[in-house]
Amino acid sequence: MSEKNVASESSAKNVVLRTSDEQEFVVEERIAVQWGTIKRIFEDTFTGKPIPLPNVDGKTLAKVIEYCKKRAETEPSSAEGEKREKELKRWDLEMFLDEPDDVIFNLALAANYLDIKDLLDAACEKIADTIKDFTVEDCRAFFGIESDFTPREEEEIRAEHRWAHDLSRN
Amino acid sequence: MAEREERGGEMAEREESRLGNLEHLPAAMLATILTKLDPSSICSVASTCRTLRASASQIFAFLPSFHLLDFAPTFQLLVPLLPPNPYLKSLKIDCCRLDDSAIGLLLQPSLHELYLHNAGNFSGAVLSEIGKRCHDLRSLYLGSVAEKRGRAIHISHLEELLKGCSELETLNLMFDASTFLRVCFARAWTLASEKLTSLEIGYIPAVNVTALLSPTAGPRQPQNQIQLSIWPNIQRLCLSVDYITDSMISTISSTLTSLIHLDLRDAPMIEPRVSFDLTNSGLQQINQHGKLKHLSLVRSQELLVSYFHRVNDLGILLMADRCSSMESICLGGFCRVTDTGIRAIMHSCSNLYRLKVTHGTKLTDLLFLDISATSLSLTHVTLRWCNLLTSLAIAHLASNMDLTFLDLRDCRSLGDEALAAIGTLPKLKILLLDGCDISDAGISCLRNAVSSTLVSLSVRGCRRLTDQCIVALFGNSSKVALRELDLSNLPNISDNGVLLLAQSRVPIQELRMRQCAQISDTSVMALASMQVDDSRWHGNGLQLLDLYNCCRLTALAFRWLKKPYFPRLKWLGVTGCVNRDLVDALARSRPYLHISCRGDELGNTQWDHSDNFYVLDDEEMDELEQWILNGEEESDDNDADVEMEVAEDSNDSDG
Repeated sequence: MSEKNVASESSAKNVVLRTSDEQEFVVEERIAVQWGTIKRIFEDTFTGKPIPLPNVDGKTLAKVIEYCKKRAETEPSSAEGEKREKELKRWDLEMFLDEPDDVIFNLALAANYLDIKDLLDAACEKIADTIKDFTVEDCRAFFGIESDFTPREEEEIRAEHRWAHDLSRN
Repeated sequence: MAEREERGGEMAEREESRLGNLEHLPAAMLATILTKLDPSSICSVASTCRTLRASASQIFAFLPSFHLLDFAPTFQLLVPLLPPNPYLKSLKIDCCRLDDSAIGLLLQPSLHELYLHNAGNFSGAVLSEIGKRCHDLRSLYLGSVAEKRGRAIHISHLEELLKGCSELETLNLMFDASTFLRVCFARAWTLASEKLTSLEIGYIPAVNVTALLSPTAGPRQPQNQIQLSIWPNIQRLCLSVDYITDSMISTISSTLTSLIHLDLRDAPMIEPRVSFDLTNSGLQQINQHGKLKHLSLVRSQELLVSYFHRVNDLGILLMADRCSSMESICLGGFCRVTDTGIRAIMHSCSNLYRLKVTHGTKLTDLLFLDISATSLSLTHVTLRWCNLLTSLAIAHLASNMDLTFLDLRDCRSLGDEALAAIGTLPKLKILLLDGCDISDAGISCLRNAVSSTLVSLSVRGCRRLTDQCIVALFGNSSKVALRELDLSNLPNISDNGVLLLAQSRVPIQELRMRQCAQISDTSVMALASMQVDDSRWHGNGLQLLDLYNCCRLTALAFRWLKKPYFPRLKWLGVTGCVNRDLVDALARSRPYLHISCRGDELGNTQWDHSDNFYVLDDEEMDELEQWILNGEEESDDNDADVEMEVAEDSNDSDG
């Protein structure tokens, strides 16, 4: 309780978040309430204690916060409408440029859980960009899946989608 | 089977650095990813497992954008991919295997953007259908409609299109509009939406344009009614005409009051007379309403070697005076313009970011001498066929640190010092150096750029380059930015060079080695076995490979071009005439690969390779080189040209 009192006295209100691996992060309230999940908790059951986020680990949450902070900083842009969309898109791609795939994927999962539309969009865009030129084998490796088709189905698929990735083995 | 086990083992290893299992992938997230993919990638994902197949097949009813340009689908193929989709906003498709029967499939009412490329099999009715069905359309591109014999576009089709699409802002009619009668054409345009701001027409005679826009054109009105104007709100106009004339320029400049972007290109069939040509007085008429920011005037050499002989520095100077807000200028075929004219432009237009000059045969190193005194920040520069420019000019130009696009093709006096200057540009993405006098030592200056920002490099015909240039470019690093490399017409590139390229494991996507006489089957084998980034890709990432006229390729090479090699190859260039049966067999085994056997340039490249005179015969090449190095004009049989040169030399004052 005292935490909350102290927080409300200071000019920047903060929220404490606890991740799945027991790390705690302090985030400005005005950033945190932009996240749908946090906003709902705020409105319903907020008690002042750290909010538990069992689906997000510390490393990912740190990146989420970094992204949101940077976004907030670059918000006021002189460009408008479509141009601004393009600028933001390019900026997003640059931000994720060197990150390994699993980091981006975890970011997308976190954004989905926390209901942060912009980040989810940006991370999915990056994932889509990554798998764009993949063959079927590459896709399977990427998602970590095995084919569960029957041989009959496999033939059907080959015929149907052959144009897309030229499945014939020769 | 063994491969599968091995793969399983690899995957187990990878799982730690890879993603979690599919069960952890929320459906909403998967859907978001899928909607951002192109149709062929969605189909690849759909072929992985049952769950993804189900999700992917549903996604086609929700896709906001469907772009399929590097493969021409048939009607049957499209049916499952284009169900009625109220979210579909953007459709771009190669229609060469489609015809009117596909109209219902393609013309969905929710569309804002529609691009139909290669629509030669469609009749003109497709225009009226668009007008009837796609009322929300903002942007329309129609390529080659009805060009196959026997299918004409009637003016009523155009009228229905313009009447029905009342929200239309951008219109590209990439076909021959000369068949429409002038009066009918004018009447049709009065039906166009007022929101139409951008217009491009594939071909229209200059007289038609002038007549269309002149105040006396248009339908007969009763005398107390105001004349309806044609194209009243056009801001962007791109026309391909037969001759750029003074009267056309003058009419366009006076009647189009909102014009911001003007792009005119002509291709004369005969040498134009003075009343049918662009002269200094025509240039002075440009930008009468002061809003022009982009200007492009190009005389292409497609049908006849011909230039704007009647324009000299005076015309350019007077134009530059009135066009100080210009941001982009392209001048093609102004062979009489000298440094004075271009410098006047650079000093007058402080917002200039794009400068393109082709056939600037009089331009010298003085051109960029004081460019650092201006506040210019050029990002796109093209200086093609400017044979008097040397490395000194480029050194001055390179003071523009914002350069991202640099096209210096056929500037034969440029050498290694130019590359030293270019290597310092921190943002360079595209660099074209065809036909320049550079060597391996110069290429090594580009290594920094290649590893950090340079995506596309062309050194076609730089005959001094050897296999060492590969080492010079990449060093030992495979993490480079370069994706497109053109090594065509290099007689000293051999299999060793290609081996070095394959060993470097650079993730090249487009590789052109046209007419490289030393390339043999070994090169194809090396490229086929090239591994790039094992953790992510299987096989190399090449999407385009052009080996046209590499005469040492045999049947063995064709075996290595089949599956499973080159899994991502979409475009292939080979010589078809001698080994027709091999090419046919390859085409049968890889039906979705574009194979070009007649030397056409491949891919969606924007580099204009027309007007090339590259020949294979070494002797002829040397003579050509000699002749050009002597600094003569390239149109050799033009008496008028010689006369004018003589006249100029006696009148010219040094400046």
